[in-house]
Amino acid sequence: MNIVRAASRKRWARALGLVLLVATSGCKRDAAWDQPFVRGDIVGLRGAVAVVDDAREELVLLTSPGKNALAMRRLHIGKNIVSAVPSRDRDLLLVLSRGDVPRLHADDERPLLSVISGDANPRIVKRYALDDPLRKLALDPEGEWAVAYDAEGAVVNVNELMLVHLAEPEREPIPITTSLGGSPVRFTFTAPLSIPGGGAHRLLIVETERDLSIIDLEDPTAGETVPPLPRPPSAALPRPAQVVFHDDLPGDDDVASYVAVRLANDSSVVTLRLAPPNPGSRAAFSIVYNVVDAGAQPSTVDFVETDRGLRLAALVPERRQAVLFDPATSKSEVVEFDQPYSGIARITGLVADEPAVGDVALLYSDSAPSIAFWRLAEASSTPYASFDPYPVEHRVSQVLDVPGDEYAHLKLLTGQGADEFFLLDLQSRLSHPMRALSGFSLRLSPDGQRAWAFAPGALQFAQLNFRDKHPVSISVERPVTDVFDIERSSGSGRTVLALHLAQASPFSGEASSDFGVTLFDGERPDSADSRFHSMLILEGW
Amino acid sequence: MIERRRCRRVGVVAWCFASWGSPAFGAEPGAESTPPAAAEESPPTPPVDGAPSAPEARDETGAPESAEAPSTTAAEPAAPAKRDDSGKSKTARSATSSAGAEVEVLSDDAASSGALTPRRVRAGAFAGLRTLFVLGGGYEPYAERALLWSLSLGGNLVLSHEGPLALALGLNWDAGASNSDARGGDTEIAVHRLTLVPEARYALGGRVVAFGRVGVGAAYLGASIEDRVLGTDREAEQWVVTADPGVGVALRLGGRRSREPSPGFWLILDGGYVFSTPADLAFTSEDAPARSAPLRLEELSLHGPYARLSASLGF
Repeated sequence: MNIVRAASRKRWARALGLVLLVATSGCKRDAAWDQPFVRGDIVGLRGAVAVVDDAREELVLLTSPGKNALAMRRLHIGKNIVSAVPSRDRDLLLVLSRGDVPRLHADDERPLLSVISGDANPRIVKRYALDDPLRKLALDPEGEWAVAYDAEGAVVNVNELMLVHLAEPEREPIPITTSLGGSPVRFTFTAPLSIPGGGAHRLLIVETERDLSIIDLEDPTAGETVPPLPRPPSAALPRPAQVVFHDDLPGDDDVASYVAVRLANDSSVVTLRLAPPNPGSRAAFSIVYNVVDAGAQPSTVDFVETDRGLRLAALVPERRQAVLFDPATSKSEVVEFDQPYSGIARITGLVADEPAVGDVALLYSDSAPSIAFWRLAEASSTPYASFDPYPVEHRVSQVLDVPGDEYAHLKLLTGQGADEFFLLDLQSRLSHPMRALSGFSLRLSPDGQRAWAFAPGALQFAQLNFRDKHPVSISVERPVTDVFDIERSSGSGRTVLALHLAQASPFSGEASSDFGVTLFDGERPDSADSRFHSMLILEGW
Repeated sequence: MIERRRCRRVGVVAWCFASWGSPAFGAEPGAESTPPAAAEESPPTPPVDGAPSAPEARDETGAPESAEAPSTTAAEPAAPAKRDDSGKSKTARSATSSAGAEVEVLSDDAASSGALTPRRVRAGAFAGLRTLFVLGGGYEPYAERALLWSLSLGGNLVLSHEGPLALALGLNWDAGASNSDARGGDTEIAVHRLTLVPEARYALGGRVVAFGRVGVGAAYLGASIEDRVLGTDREAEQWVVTADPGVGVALRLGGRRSREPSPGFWLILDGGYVFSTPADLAFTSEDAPARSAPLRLEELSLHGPYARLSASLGF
């Protein structure tokens, strides 16, 4: 009897212990609550702002359904997001994730390339499973191709590329391995280039630290073309710095498309003419290689049309001149300038008096406060009179194009470390200097109607409306980190989001942060008509 | 010994006749060695709010009282009557029925006077620790585990009783809190529940009482979240409706052995399920910029099973 009672007591004690254990332990919450938010890529799209939330392996997508209204959506992208790159028109966002690393089980997540629509209703439109984890992403400006590269692992081929044909989502990614000596650092997707007897092909030019490779995007598996690069006199390895291209000029008897390569450590410029393929070769073209010398280190090169035909212009600010090379004959002409112009932008179709022959280029300098309009139709006949210099107050290091057609004749000229920028009207040749906060940044609205200027950390930012060229300052109550102009999901109107990013105290030892936004009407912003949201890392779960 | 044997045989009906409806619950607790005859074999009095407190009948000296009912058919001499300090006569007789079974019946005068019925506890108070296993959503920002601990305090009154059954009504206050951090920002929540608790009790003996109850009331939720964009805390509060049906068991600690619940200290373990309407907390801050939108997290629904361990004093 005692034995029975003792056994019963034990059972009761165990049951009670189990109840107490369950009652006092509870369920552990989702581990994501313990993961601090660490700022990943923040990308402005056409109708949304995408914020990478690494800890939750998600994209936080902020959209605006109406005036001063905010909506959030979270898209699970994949584990270990490493890169998020928008398309040039901001209609797409490509996100590269590495998946489970190391991948030990069959159900572990593979590396993924996710394509997200950038409109006001963001969604995953396509996912590509990749074989290996890749860390970097390059996107075709035309939105047709993407390249994932920079593999990681115990042993990797740094020249392995994964080509993804975005225009044909059903196509599997195409693995490409180049035979370059270095690792890829830059990709150039060309426009369709005419090939003698072979139609027009788009090319992918892969630059490394020491060489380059050309891949025919019409048939990426056909093999690469690796042109030789001249070895600089210093015996250092040649270092490609810039690739430009030009299709065959209409009306020419001979089809001749060109690619030119500027080196960062040599005065030589390599020109490559696309020629018919060699007999027996699978490639659709061959190249005719040539090297021209600009006399000194050129700061930039570009193909231009002059009164004598197609020329490769190399700006040599050290000598205050431009050298115009005939890519067919390698003959050169020199145009002497009054200033050391270092940058060039073709503006032929944007000026008021568009010439019938030849290009018009905008010259600017990062070492002298001057810009110039260069009429290339006169560059060969009267080179000394072919350019019209305009003094400006600051040096210019960057020229921003306004999206769309309505205000394409406006250019925004900014300088390194300056507290001013210029709105240059190419048709009237008038510049509108704008004084801004020190360390400002510029964001152009995707609809091409306005620009936003802000200085990270400031309590103000400004709208510059291209219609009246009138800047409007807007005050916020929290420091601005970035500004995004998006279209509303209602279809009418625009909303501007001033992003506020909170970083953890540097003394706390935490890497956590948070972010909030202040919403304004994008077309008529008013400091007294806004809506503030914060703690967005906790919303939308 | 004879009286004890008799007492054990006192039936439920006899006890009910003796005690039901009697307004006088003033009998002193009986001595453990010789519990009152009427009470020993009768169903014990349920506790107040899980604190069983039906008193043992005893005299002021602590000597146990015995009640012998007069038999309808005399089988043996009546037991000597005892007198307590109040001078009330308490007699009982053992009798054998016509079928030969021995029964004990309360005397008519004793039953009618109510002097032999045990004192019934009308009130109780308890304090305990309660844990709620939160199954509802929205609690994760405030706790690393899905538990909400709270302090429970309450009191109750017995409204009526019959046999081993009793009905009581209580008022409970649960005060709980939890703090944690949500993705690096400090969070805190306080929950105060005030419930009216109808309760049914069933005595299983002198030391054990089972009960069931339904608490119905309101809960106040007050929460705060550290807003690192603002550099201050956002706060929110809301009232919700709550109900928590549950069952439990009470165990009397110490005291003299008894066949019925009696006043004293009781250990109570109860559990059940808490229902609650969801709370849509809107976190705001006075330091927020003008036209600041409140922070809204997932709706907080504090429902789930609970368990409580408490100590009660029945009197």
